[in-house]
Amino acid sequence: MTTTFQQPSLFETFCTATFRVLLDCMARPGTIGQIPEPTMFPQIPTIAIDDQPMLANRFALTSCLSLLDQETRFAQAANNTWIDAQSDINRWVQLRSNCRLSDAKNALFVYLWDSASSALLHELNQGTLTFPEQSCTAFIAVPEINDTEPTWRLRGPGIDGHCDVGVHGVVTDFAQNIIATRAHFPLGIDIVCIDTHGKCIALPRTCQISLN
Amino acid sequence: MSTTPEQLYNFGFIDEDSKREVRRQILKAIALPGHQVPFASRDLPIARGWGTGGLQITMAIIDAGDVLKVIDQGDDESVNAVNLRRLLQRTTGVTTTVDTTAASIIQTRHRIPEEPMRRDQILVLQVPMVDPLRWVEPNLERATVMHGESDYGRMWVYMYESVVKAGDLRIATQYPVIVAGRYMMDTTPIPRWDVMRLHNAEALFLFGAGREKRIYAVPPYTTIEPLQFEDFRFKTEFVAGQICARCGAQDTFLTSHFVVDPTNPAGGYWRTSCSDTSFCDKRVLVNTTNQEAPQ
Repeated sequence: MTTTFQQPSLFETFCTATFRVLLDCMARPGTIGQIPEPTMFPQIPTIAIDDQPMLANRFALTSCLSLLDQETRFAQAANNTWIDAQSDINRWVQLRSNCRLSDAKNALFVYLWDSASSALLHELNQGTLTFPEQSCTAFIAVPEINDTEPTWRLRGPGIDGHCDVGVHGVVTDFAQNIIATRAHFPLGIDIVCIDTHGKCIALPRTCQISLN
Repeated sequence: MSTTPEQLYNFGFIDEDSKREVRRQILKAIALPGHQVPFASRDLPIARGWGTGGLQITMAIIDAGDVLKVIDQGDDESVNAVNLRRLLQRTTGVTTTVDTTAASIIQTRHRIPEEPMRRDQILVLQVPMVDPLRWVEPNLERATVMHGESDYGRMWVYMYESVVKAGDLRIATQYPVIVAGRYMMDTTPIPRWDVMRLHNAEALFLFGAGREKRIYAVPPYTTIEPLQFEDFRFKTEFVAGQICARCGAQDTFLTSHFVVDPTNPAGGYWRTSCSDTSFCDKRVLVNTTNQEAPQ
């Protein structure tokens, strides 16, 4: 009998490649990774904000989707408001991942469509002292991430001294909203920011952020 | 004439949902350095306690482009290492190597390779026993609460009693350390020689315990402090004067085995050699080449 293996599907290949980027970024906060192009999802439903259609950041939404399955509870928000579970976009995510839709308090993964929704981070589950790993992981779409015009200085495990990174086009209290999620280590929210080109930084709860 | 049937597996043996479970818990483990994150450990075609935790981590992270190395006590050729490598190779098709510098993922049982690891490498450690508090609190639930509250007083008393009874810190392996100033972590049965090589390293260390269903991690550039007293410091196994009989190294972790004297079955001697066989082979090759080179 010979042992052979099935070639991974397009989505499985994407999930593994995305996970390796997230793994590297989470282990080394401030390192800018590149999420691969999610070619298997050419069309993601738009949502309406003030009667204007809003496009999802396909890199951020699909990299969050790559970690979802029937064991996970998911929620998403745009324009500082949680999106209804019956909406097209939530059903789209649920059909492709088999995840359970949930309220903010019980979500294990959330996708925030814009930096303004970071004001909702305080509603998320930060875990307990005994089970801090049961906290939420938030994927946030931001306009631009680069290392040429740094706005934040990061310190903590995974960083040799400090690391400077630029997160641009976000609301003024974006950094403060994130900093507030790590005031009670080991409780806290782990955050991944992904820009419109798929550039990604991770901010695990151990990562201390100061403004440049 | 009968044809040989083929057994078709998912890439990396375990199914995609199992991979996702391991992946989610790895990300949490990195965000909480040293904290033991429970995960849904799957059944594998090897017995639990024989490397299934490390194996599931490797299966969850491995990509077709990876180069894999598997070692057991530093040795690439021992039965456990060969079997795990063969399983991973047959179910992923990745390239395997014995050269530490050529590997992108190294799965290991009880050693960190002698050659320094780079930032593009991941070390996956197989963990037999997870909780350093088990010596002082066998109840796992109570131990988990103690970790949550940083309640490590009883472990310090255990260390103190060890000094009082034995005259020194008598922990040979699984030396307890504090990770990033917060969680106490078991270093798995790596020798004390390797403990400080976890400190501020360039590579990422992932620990998997399949039987005890826990994953934990030490990210790069993370502080590791072994438990020690001011007057009884943490010491490695280094013995001055011991050298490897094969390559002559004096700065590696050595193992010893008994060599029987062929002329006198009752006689013989203990021979020491490098535990990291790939590194030792490289040095032997360099020594041989130097000797053969024209003067």
